[in-house]
Amino acid sequence: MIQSPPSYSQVVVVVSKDSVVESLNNQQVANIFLAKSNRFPNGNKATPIEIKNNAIRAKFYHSITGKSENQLNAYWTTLVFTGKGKPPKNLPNYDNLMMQLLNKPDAISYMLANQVTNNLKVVYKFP
Amino acid sequence: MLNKQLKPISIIPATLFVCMLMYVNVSFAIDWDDKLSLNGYYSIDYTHVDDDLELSGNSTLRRNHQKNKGNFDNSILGGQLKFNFTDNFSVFVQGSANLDRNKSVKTDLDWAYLSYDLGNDLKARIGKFQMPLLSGIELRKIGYARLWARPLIPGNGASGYSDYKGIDIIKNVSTSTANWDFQLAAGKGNHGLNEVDNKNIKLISARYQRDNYWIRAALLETQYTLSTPSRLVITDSGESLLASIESEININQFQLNLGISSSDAKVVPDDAMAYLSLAYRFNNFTPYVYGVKLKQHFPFFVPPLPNNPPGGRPGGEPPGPPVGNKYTDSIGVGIRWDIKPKLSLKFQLENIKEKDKTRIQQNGIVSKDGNALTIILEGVF
Repeated sequence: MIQSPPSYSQVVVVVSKDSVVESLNNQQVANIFLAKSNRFPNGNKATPIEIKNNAIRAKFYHSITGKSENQLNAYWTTLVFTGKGKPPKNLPNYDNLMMQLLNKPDAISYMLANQVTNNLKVVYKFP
Repeated sequence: MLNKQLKPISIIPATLFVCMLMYVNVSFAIDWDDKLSLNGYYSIDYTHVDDDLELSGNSTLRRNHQKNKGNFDNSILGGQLKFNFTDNFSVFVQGSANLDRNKSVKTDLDWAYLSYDLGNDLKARIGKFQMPLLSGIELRKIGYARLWARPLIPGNGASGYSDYKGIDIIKNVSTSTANWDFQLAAGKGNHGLNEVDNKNIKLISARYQRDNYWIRAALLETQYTLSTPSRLVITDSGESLLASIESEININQFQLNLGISSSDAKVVPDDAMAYLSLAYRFNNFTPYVYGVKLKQHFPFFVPPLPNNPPGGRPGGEPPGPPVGNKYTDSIGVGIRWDIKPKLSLKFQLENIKEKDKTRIQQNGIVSKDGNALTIILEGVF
């Protein structure tokens, strides 16, 4: 699926350029980041990662789930303490995030469109 | 349930200490190299009642509260460890500490299982689990996960079963617009009453989530032996069937929760329960109102009689088991304040009316009408 170029303030979902995943829809992104699924649609393992306390986190999750941060915390509490899932792995900064994305084909994250480099592939952008 | 009595110290100082730690470190878990993760939760609960009341609890299915006495008895502290041996194979252990009826600290092993990811969002687990019926049962101890100060559903809303040992299979199915979660379980249940010795349980649970609402339905079948407190077997072929359905609907800032469960059991009481709650999210404050109705039906049966001592039993025969219906209605109003991520404070005021018609032949109808005030600080780490 070919997507039009995102605007720079837009939040996009990215994987390594070497990943075989080409595109995802909103529900598939939500499933992966909400621990509903640990697989990409092609069956490969998916590992969501994010920067700890990043500024676009609330906007990203509200876009895919409609939940506020408080609701999201309650959601994760439900999953974590029933053993049915855990939140995406938190990384300390952008450099660590990039390292993971480039070295792990199963890694998937989100960032602003103007942070996307040539080594990354945008697989979903919010309308 | 595997539990252990510790020396009778107060749980409150320990919980307060943990809370102070949590206040400065509220990130979810400790996660080492994707292998080991540690999480925890706590509730510091102050409850005051103006009549002798039995309320559903965080740590126990039901807890007695004495008239005009405030207490912290419903407080709880818990921790969890998860270790991934491989990407597919992990172990999960979760336990808690709380006060028992004698105000001694009691520890419980609530969850302990091995999990194997079979791929295709299919997972098999073996070990000990909380009963995945109504969310108030499965997450009874995790107060931060719910809106209210305590579970709306008392233990009898799940026929008294709180946990089981066995196997379960979890399957997630995603479509382009929704999610399905299925859970099949089989094993041996643990009943809140010592007189109920479970032989086996079979459970199926399905949860459907779409956009701004979810619905969960569950069906539980159990077989058990029922005895008197003195271990005389009343029946060796007890059976019960329980069905439940609950839902949460979010419309703009409104949150509607509703649930209903009903059980059909042999000898032990049948129960029917329903709850309805409406909340409004206003930034970090969520005021709510709710109502709960519970009806328990105690069927007539003839208990086995112990051998009487020569000359008869002093004081005559003991009274027979209760027969008839017992009703509990409660309404409540409260507010949840999310002080910061993973830390909340709740105020709740509720009125509880009990009408026990099972003792008509003994003492007449027993009625209670009392109020409970709860202030509770809860969090996860």
